[in-house]
Amino acid sequence: MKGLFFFIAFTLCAHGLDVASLHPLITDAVKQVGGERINVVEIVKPGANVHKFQPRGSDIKKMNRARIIFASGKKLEPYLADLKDNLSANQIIIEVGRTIPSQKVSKEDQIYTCCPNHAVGGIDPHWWHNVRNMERAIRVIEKELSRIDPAGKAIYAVNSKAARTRLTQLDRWVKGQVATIPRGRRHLVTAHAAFGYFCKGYGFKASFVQGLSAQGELSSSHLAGAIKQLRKEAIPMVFPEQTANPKVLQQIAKQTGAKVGNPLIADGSTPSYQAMIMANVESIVAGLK
Amino acid sequence: MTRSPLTATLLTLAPLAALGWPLAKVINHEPYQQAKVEEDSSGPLLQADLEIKAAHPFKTLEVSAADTTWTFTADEDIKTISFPKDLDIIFTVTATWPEGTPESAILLTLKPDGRPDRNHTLWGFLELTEEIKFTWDR
Repeated sequence: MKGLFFFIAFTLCAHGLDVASLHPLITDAVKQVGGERINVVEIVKPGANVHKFQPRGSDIKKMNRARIIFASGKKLEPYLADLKDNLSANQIIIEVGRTIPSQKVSKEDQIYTCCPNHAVGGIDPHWWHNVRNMERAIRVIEKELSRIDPAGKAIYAVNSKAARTRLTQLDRWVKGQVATIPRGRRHLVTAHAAFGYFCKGYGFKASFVQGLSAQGELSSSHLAGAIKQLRKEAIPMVFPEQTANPKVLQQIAKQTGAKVGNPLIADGSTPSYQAMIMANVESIVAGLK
Repeated sequence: MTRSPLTATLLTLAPLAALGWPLAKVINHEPYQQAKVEEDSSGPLLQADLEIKAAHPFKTLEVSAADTTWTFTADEDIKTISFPKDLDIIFTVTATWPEGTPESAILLTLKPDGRPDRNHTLWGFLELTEEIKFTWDR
């Protein structure tokens, strides 16, 4: 009997801490901090539309072993309250972006809206486009894993430090790349307002021309205004997004003489955070330098 | 001698219950309450990560605010601290370096929940005591 108890206890320990993730970029971060000590159930996979995702019964079933469910936060997941009702008492939801200073979606900043949930005046949820913010997120993940699994604290601390060091290097790389763009040309024109944190963090003027209305549609008067402004500033390139319809940007490019750049990744359609940042920065630098 | 079905069932279940009780204690931790963020917290204290980066290995490094002192080591270069939710905070930084260390720098970064980072680089030769003030707009 005693042997059986130890066998089961050992099996539980060896199995590791079960966690779930509601965002592909958070999955990457959680894996970096947790390493082999945790098992991550990836609920929202790379390429899925994180703005439209709603957990189904099968998703909730997949989460039923997870002690921690990591979400991005900043109201990106409006379903969290309902999800919480479906979880057991010992399961918790951690909004990883909770400690990061929020940027509000503002008409004055030319930061409009990316979808109906994130209208003007609301909080821009795309905090991960500033690498320094991901460093904070890594600390939140480290603290929460250590709190639930204190025996793994030292491992999480080492992994967290290594991940933050890599992010510091990535942040330096981004700044170095951005420095190659003349200051007057640091103006990022994209369809949706997903790059506000990037623009503020790395010194770009931002124009997010699509989605001024709460329905995410572009009025003809706003379109005409945007074309006039972009012509005046002689914007060399506009950037579509991988998961968004490029038609409006193509129309704007045609009428302003700007070129259409490589699609940027807004919400994590790659499984690697570093790959996403590097791909975006390389596209922006190639287009604006 | 034969046992009644009830006795037989109870005898079968007893070892399982004996095994299940300690296991349940292992599995069912107390529910955890998520720490509140500044935006929706009405408490008087703000949590922050206080991080140091040193250009050269130091002998001692202490950071104080009000009546609290945090001691850093080479292995522990980040600490979670709490401080009043005022719009400014004053830190006193005291550091010493081993003999033979050239003039050296320490980067102190404060990352409070819901507020922008603040950082400051301090320079010292073998020893350093300096006050720095971080502020935020309302």
